[in-house]
Amino acid sequence: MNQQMKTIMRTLSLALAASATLGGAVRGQTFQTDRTVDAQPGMRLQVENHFGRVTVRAWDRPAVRVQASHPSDVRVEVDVSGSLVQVEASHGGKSVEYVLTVPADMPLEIDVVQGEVDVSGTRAGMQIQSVNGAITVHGGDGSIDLGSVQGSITLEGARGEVHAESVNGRIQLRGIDSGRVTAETVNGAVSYEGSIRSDGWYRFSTHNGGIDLTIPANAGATFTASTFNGTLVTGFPVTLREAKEGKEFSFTLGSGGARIELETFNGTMSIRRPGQP
Amino acid sequence: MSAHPTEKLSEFIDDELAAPERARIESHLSSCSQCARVVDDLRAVVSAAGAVEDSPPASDLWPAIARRLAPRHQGPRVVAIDSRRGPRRLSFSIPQLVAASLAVALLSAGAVWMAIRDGGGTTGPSTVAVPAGSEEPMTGVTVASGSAPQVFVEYESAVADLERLLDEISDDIDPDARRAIDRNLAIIDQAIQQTREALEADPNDDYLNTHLASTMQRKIDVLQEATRLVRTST
Repeated sequence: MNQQMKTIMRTLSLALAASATLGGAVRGQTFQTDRTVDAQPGMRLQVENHFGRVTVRAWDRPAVRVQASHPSDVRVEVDVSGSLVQVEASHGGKSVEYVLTVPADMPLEIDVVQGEVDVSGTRAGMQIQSVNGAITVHGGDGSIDLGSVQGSITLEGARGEVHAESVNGRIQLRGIDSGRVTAETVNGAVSYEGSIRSDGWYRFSTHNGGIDLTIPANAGATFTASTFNGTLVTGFPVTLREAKEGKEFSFTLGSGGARIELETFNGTMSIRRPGQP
Repeated sequence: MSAHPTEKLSEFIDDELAAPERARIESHLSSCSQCARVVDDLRAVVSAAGAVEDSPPASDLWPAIARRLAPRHQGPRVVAIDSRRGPRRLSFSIPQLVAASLAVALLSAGAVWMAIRDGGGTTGPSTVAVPAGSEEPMTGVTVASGSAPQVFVEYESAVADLERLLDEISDDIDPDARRAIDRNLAIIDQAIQQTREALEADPNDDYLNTHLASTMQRKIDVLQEATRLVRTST
């Protein structure tokens, strides 16, 4: 290789290296927003995110901390107005990953198009909707409304009125203390483990999937169970009444106070006591 | 009255509003073709459901259907027609209830059209219009009333409108999310199809009829919710 060729190669190498460095910087360029605003009792948090994960944690301070990772041309706005703390990004189509820390008793309203939502430690009601992403919540108290089109829903240790809805995803409700629960999906299993209040109403439905209930041994409830191509299995000694042979059942446990409705087009409906396989 | 009084229309047709409010709604209806059509459709639902005297009395399914159509916080309020039952004691056949529930779903879809279209600066929902050359009414559900199949045609029309609306904002949707929406609509369609096939063998099955209605409602919910989420987050 002559001197001229060496010079060309060196120049080319430098150019390629510079290009790679610059490209990497542009592609990976991530800015951080970190803002904390005061939050008075009674305020609620509203988050709208088109693309990216939203994580919410609780603390005991009367403030909301917004940490966000996003491209440099995105501006994260935190607006406090009246009883609302509103968080959104200026460029809805670009990825923004949020970590939000909120007062434990602050109600949440979270909308995500593409991304998961993970909430833990709160003691408030919440409304969370996602088009494509799982929703996982530990805690919650009050009106809890969770909806995902494509994605599983997991709710643990919640109190209050629970509504969970998916199309293609399983719904798992564990450690729930509620008098009103609905869980509906089209393609996926539904499971519930929690209390049954004597004046409660519980409804679990799927088109294609099983329904698995684990309820206290002393639960008092009137059950109706409907299926087209499924079965009913119960770990409780009950007398089944069949409104339609093999398809529509009803039976009573204990006082029969609560109302429990189970529906699956295809799938097994199982009712068991805690610890029962 | 600038906003659409969707929440009051049920009370309006039941003549349960105080005179001043009724007058306000009448004034609005005189200048709002969308709401006027919603009122017409709601009246048609009540009329269709109550008109057939020779249908066998249905089991009391309406509470279950109404619960499934409970308004969600995000969307426009579904008009409650529970109150319509009490003193009139109408006996609905099961397919009529399905048709009625779908009609209520259409009202909800229509309200979304109004809200989004008005917000977007364009006009007019076509939700409850039956397009020329539209598909044949769904089969598999025997509807006693002659007008009830129209509801199913309108349902298809509403779904088509909402899908078109979603298409219009497709550029704003993350591709993965759009694929997820399409995939899930297909899953719902499959569930609807399976239920319809089951109904062909057993048209008056309580569970299958309510399941069909709730699954069809679910499709409208998904379209509405996906559209709302995209609109609010971009």
